[in-house]
Amino acid sequence: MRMYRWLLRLSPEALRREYGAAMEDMFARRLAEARRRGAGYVAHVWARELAGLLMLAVSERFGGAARTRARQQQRFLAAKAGVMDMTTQEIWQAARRLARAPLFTLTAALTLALAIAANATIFTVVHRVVMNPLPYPESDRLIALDYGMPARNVTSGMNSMAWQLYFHLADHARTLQHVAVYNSGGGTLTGSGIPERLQIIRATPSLVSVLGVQPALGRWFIDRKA
Amino acid sequence: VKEIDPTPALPDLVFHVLLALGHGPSHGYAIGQDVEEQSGGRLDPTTGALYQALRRLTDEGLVVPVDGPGDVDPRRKYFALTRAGRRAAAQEAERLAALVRAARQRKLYPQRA
Repeated sequence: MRMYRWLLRLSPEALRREYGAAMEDMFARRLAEARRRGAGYVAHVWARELAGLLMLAVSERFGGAARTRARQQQRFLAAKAGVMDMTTQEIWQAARRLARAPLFTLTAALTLALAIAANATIFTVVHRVVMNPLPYPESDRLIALDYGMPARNVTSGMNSMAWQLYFHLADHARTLQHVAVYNSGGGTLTGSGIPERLQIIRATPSLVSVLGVQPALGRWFIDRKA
Repeated sequence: VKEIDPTPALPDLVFHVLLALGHGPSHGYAIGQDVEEQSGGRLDPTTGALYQALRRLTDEGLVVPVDGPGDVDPRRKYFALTRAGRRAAAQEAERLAALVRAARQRKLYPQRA
């Protein structure tokens, strides 16, 4: 109960002053009822009531004046304004309200940004690994190597590899089963007939063992011939 | 063409709260239960939402805090309908009834038995 009393601070002061005790009483009865029904219900009541208080805090902080204004405008405009007019107005109202409360706006924007970023990151992984994996066997074990250059204050993003480094990794890396380097680009085939633009991938022979596939046509080249 | 009634529709929760007080004075927890029951579980206001609605209704003079029976927890607040509250509830009921009549006329709702 002490916890709820503390959480009541989220609610508008006038409401708390007038009805705080009554709200505590009502919450206590809801909680008692939930306890009779089981632990799941208790958690549900807590979560719902907490969310309710949060909504109250936000709506009281930003809703009051806007509600009155909206109600007045609605009376005048409802008959003639179309849906789009009302929507545009509401968007403007929301923008003005946000501009008047920069701290809240900033906090809300940051919270949203973090939440969206976290979701996007998780979704990217889930999308790639679970829902839409690369078309290679055991594709969840494929990784891309990425380098930085701490001396130049570059922490990552250098995904090109010098041949010395490739051979070093191929010979010494113990956490990697195979290493391959590839580089894609274009080239023009000339010499016989009409020149043709080709898509070219330059790769180390180890690419097939890294990807775990064989060429659909022909034979893959081997180290000796590379 | 019938003149459009300028009184806007009451918010759902507000009408249900007024309805809950139709039997006589009541307190938050009981009002909340009645709202949930009457709306078939569609409305189940949190404590905060219910008291915010009650405060607004009090400010608008539709509801008034009254003394409860002597033997209850002194923290418990009782509320009762004012005359304006009864009128607002009646107006809303009339609005809904008119809609039901219109639905009947258009055969969207069963005729009265």
